[in-house]
Amino acid sequence: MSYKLLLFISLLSLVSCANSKDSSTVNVAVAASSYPALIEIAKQFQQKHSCNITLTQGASGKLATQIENGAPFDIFIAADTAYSKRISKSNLAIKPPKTISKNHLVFWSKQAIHNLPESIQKANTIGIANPSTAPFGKAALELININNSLQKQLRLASSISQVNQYIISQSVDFASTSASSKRMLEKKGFEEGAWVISETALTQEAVLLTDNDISAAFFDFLRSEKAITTFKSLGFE
Amino acid sequence: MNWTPIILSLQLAAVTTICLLIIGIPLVYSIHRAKRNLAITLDTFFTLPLVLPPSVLGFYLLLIFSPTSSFGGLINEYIGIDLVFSFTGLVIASIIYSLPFMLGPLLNGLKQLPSHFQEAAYTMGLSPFKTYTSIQLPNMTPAIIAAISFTFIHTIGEFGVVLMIGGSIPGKTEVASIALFNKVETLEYDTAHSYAITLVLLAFSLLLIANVMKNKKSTQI
Repeated sequence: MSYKLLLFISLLSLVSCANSKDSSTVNVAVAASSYPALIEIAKQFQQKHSCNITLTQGASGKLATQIENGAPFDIFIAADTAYSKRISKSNLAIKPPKTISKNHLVFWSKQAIHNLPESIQKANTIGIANPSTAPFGKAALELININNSLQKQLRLASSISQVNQYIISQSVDFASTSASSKRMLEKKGFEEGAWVISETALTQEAVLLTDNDISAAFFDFLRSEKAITTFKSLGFE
Repeated sequence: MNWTPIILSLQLAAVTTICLLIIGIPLVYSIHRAKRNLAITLDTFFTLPLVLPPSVLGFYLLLIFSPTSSFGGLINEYIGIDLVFSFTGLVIASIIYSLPFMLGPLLNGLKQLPSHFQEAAYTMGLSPFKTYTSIQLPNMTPAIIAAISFTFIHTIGEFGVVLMIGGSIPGKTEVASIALFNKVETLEYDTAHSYAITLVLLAFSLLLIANVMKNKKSTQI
């Protein structure tokens, strides 16, 4: 019987340490396109401040919906201004949204790109992020103006992260992602295919959702000299 | 590799298993005692989570748990806990999701007991409930072990429901299976590998322990 008791006690102790909310934790919901940069910026911030920054990445639209339904995030970084405005309009923001960087829309093709519309026409599969939740998917769709004949070629990804997966595994012929993702893939040693950087750029905005010192400090840090340099070195503008 | 998601998975599985054991034992008794047709209906109803896509469960739980719904709002107002994006919500979802894995082995174990156990107990004047708790339950230890281990391991393997109502908040709802999914999405394959291998080893060793214990108990009887 004693081992059962022991098992029970150990389970209870396991349970009791669950859910201890640490006041020095900053939960950041970050758009998939900005996630690699935020890893670096969170590291830099944590070197100076004793706190824990956790990052949850996904399509901006999905994260915005989660926040509206009560997800416990302290900061939201959206890939475009539409979703940050939506959050601040619904009275969930402490301060007005703050612009943090610009990120260009880029295209990738397995074959060399001489002419963009031609490359799109020739592609059997086109990977883009789901335009209903991902700003980069929406921007790509507006730019390449997919007509009905191309609809069948579309491979919708849940976010830019999944598009990057399509690219690195070369499972699509043509794809659209962000300039920061291009830099991230190149840093991982990916050298296949050809890239075209478009004129279109999306503006990333950050929204502060909770009123505490450490979250506010990280929110301010996102616009600091050091953070801007990091953003620039990772493909942002 | 960050161990928090693994620990969170273990915590979720432990809490769910304890809760389901408390719910399952009386529930199995009532199903077993119910009239034939009712018993079949109840059994079918409680087995539903086994065959339903997790997204069906996740969708309805999301509707019920949401702070804007009447139930979620009431809980939020009077008890002060959020059910979406919280550990508590995951526990409730896991209890429903893993219910068949607790009930199935227990019901089968009870059915397979020789009927003379029950008959002998009745002739000695034991009530049906007393017969269940002091004669039948102690004689179906292998079934109980199977129920506990399947529930625990199945909860660790939970993915769809957690994805829908948990929202992968690190340290709160980002369990191991979700953390693995996130690491694959962000192309952090090294970390994804370590989560995957840890999960395989964990599942194998838990199943092995359960099987060894079950064998030991069966040979004793």
